[in-house]
Amino acid sequence: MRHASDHELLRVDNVRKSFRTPESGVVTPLDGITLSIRNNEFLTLLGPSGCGKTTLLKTIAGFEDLDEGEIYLDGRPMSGVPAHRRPFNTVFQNYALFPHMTVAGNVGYGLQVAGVPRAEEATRVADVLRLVGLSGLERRKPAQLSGGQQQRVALARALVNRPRVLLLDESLSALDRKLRQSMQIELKNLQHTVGITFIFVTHDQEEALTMSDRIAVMDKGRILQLGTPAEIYDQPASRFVAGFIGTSNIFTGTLTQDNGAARVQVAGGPAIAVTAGGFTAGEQVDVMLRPEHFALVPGGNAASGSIVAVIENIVFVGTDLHLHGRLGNGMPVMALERHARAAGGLNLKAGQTVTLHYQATSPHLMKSGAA
Amino acid sequence: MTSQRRRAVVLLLAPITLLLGAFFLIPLGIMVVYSLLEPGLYGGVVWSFYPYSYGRVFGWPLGGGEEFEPLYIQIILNSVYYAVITVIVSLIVCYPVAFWVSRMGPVAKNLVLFAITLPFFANLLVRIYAWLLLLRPTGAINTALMSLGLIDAPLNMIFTEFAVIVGLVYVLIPFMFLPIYASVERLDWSLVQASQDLGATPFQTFRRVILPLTAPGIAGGAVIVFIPALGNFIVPAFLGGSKVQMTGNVIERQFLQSRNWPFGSTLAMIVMASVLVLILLYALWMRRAGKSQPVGEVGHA
Repeated sequence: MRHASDHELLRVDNVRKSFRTPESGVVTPLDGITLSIRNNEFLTLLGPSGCGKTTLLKTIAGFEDLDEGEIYLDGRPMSGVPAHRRPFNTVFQNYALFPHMTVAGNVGYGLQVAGVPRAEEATRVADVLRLVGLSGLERRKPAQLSGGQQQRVALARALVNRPRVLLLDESLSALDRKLRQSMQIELKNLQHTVGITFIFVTHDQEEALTMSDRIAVMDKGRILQLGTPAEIYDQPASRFVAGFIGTSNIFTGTLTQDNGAARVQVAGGPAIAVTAGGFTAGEQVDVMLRPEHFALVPGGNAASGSIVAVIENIVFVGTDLHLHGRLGNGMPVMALERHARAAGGLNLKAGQTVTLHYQATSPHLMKSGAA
Repeated sequence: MTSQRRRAVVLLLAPITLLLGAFFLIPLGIMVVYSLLEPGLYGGVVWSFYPYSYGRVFGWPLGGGEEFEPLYIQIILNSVYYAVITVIVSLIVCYPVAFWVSRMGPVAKNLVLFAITLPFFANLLVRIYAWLLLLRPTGAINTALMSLGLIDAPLNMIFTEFAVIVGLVYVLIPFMFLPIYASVERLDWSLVQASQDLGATPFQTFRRVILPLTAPGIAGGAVIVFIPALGNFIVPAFLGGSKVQMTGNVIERQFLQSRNWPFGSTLAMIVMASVLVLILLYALWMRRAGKSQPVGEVGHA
């Protein structure tokens, strides 16, 4: 097992790219992105479609030129180095397997064009196929493989070249849910085994949280937040990030300080007790409460550290119940309750009034109106 | 298949079967039979077995006063040569153009495709006659070159091999372009990107990914250009004069001037047999290549 080191492998330095499309005018998929990627880390670029994450991956791979900025590998600028000379390999979204070659032909392709001797090629292809669990399928054609197997061939074809960085472009999105989940774990394990830096592009927050060492959340050509999955989940930098990762309740209000007790007064709604680190009284803030922060008590006893809501909908998802409710002022709120606890005597029903308690350390404050 | 469906299939297939039978198989049968009959003195045939027309071409079997004339094999080989050159030239022209067109915007693309099929709207004879006007000593090309001072005397272009090949390429080039274009258009560019990504140089990418994946189009175009080029008689008749002869001209003369129908049929049979062998080779090659193509989703794990 190798772990991510602090050594900077790849540096994306203030890159910009924009182009004109006939449909929507000037599009700027990269609007001044700076990113330092460490050796052996699993970095995920996460964002909605059109946020620029795939363009960033393509510029790293060398398929697209930059308007401004530079990408450095070990301090060496990469502009002017064509795609086929960059020590990076890509796992494409549709896998892009060569249909006229066998599995062994596909996997060995990179070694063949690099002039690796045949005997070495055979050994390395056999090794990497064993690594991804495809031994015995060497002579199959891509069309004779299942989606999951094709995905592994694409992975093997890239890994066999021992790239400095492996680029994965929505590589799991074509698989069905169950396969995708098992591939997530496998991919993470594989990354530890081979000790290669992975840059993974996805729009699936669950995928990002499961696999990444760090996540860069992107929107409109910018990086909104860069951090570990836990940091991104617990301390989102903005309403957008909070909304994109996991489920959250976000209220906007004014921060008030009263004898050391900080509150966010939601317009026409409750006052939420918070810890106001870094914010000053009178500031407009967004406050986020995750559904799992609430401890539910039947009945409506509003006190500090709680809010009262009426349950509108109860959705059973297995381990948990998702409770959709409304506050007194009509704002929607979502809470989570363990199915086991709810079944054991709570007897929740739609229309019931409940009090949702939370710890004062739970609410997370964000600058209001931040992108 | 239910009997009702079967009856429907039979009914639907009947017209085309009758049409092909009446206008293709029967004349072909007549040619086969005539090639083995004795020529009549003033055209037509005498109904007796006479394989010696083949002897005249191949040197065996001889008899009935026929002599081995190597000239005919020479002409057939010449025709093959012209057809091969035609295929090569049109391939060299069409292949890069197909890539260029496939990268165009939808409007420009349709315009180009329309322009390529446009010549079919004009009569073939008129179009070939136009080349006569272009290529002859007092024609447009020579006049232009001379007035520019590039040449002193007119180039001798008309009634040469060059003129025939120009004419054949001109007439047949759309048949090369369309299948190649279809295969280029189908080419998945992410495969080209994948090849680059794996470290292949542009030349390696071309040789190992682009060429094999567009090969069916090239082969298809080559076959459907080669066959009509081999049998063409209008182009050499107009642009080749008396110097350049192709099998088509010889066959035409046997029927219309020498009035030796059996010998004309014999030559036609020989050309057709060689074309059939070619198509057979093509089909076998396609079947081998077809095994490497997607056979449909198999074994979803």
